[in-house]
Amino acid sequence: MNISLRKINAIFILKLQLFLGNLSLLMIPAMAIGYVVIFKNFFPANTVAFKALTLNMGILLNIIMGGIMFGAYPIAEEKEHHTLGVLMTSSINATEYFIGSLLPALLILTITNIILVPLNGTSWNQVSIINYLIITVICSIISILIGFTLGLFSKNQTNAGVVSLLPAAIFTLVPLFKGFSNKISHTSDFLYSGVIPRFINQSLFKHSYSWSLFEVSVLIAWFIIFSIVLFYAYRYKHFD
Amino acid sequence: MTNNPIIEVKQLYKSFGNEPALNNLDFSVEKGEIFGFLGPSGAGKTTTIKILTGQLNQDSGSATVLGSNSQHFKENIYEHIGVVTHDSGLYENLLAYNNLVTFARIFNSDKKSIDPLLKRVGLYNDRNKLVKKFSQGMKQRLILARAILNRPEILFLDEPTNGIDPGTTKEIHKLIFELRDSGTTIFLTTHNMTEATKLCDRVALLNDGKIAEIGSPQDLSLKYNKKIQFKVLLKDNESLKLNDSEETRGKINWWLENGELQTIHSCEPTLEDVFLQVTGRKLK
Repeated sequence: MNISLRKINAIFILKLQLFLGNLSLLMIPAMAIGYVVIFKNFFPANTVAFKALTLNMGILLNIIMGGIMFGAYPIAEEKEHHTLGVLMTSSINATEYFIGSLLPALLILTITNIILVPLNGTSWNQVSIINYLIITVICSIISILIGFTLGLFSKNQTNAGVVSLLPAAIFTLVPLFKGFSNKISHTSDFLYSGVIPRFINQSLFKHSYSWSLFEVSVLIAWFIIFSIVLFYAYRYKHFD
Repeated sequence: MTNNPIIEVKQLYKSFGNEPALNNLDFSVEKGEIFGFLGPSGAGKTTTIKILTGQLNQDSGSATVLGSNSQHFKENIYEHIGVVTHDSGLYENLLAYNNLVTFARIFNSDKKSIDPLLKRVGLYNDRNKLVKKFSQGMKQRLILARAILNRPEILFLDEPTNGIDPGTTKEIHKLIFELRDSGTTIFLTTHNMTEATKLCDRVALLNDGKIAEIGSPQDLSLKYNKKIQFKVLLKDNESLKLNDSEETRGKINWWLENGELQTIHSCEPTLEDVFLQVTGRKLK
């Protein structure tokens, strides 16, 4: 399969235009920013625990809810308005389409993730920016892949919103509530989104973070699983 | 017209469940012609276009387009094909111009060709409007403009004027002729026999997934013109329908010589009549 950078760029610009005109989608990163700003300014408990909780919530909301919706909505919209078939009969292949669709979503989510740290009152001295970017980018990509898959199985945008809610809630809330019970904590360890609070908590409480083989394996496993699921979902659903 | 098939279909068979949608179709389309696929709803027209454009796989038989098997199209063949189907969509939240710019980027076409194209389909003054504000006719013209942006060698048009007002239909017909004259091969489906007669160099009459007849509209009309008749209107507004005979020819000559004849028409069957004769059913 040939991959054309020109075609990826065409899809990138198209999707960026559509994202920037879609207020429903932009509300999610805006909500993440709003949440962090409100908690920082109206609940000024300047404890590390409070900062970690607020930052975790903002990042998870942006990456999980945002990532899944940024993946699911546009594909559902393409199916609803019959434009996916048009792209496929215009010499765009699946790889070009998915890379071109993923990159603008990733750009918006990553800019939001970068903004969230200073808005939360956390210094970049406390959080390794390299590790932060690696973890948030990989988790965002996995969320977008999950969103793509859900979008392919959705009939329209409303349906995409409905089917996205449950996985988004699970991947957001389980890592946040991991302190409530051992079972939740154990489950969170196996979720890709569980890596985020571990990284933030260790960075803020212990002032250092080191990658574990288990965390790397969890991220790789989720990435591979959803790449394969997406491949088969696209193969059977793209011209529906 | 050269004898150079650009589409070749052999024993094409496709079924949905136990119902055959296409039943061993055989036909070819030559370069530079307008080929019409004529049949009622459910005859298999859209299924044929979907197979020819690689959107659907047949159960058996072969379909070759521009020398490539449609089951194994590589993406780059679509740089030489334009497709307009009844479910071709547009990006409704983008401007008309930006819809075309996106595809110009994909096809690596010169963006300077967009404005003349918009003028050609009568949408230049609306280029900076959101597509969701367009009427159905305007959307159809924009879809057509997008399909010809890459100057395709073959243009597939599935019922291109269905639900379109007469003015827009006329413009689309004009554009189709211009494209044919510039060398584009056009594969057109329609259930409108007047449109097929006007546009097509050759038509295939499709019924229940089978080709019942194939040929030029004129040849088919003459082939099934079993009873030669003339319709005349005389000067005193008397209208007559006469069977061909020595006597009729004599009368017509006399009316001509004496200036009694206002109009005269031959009464060969229309494509709809031919379809009815061949299949025993009406087109619509």
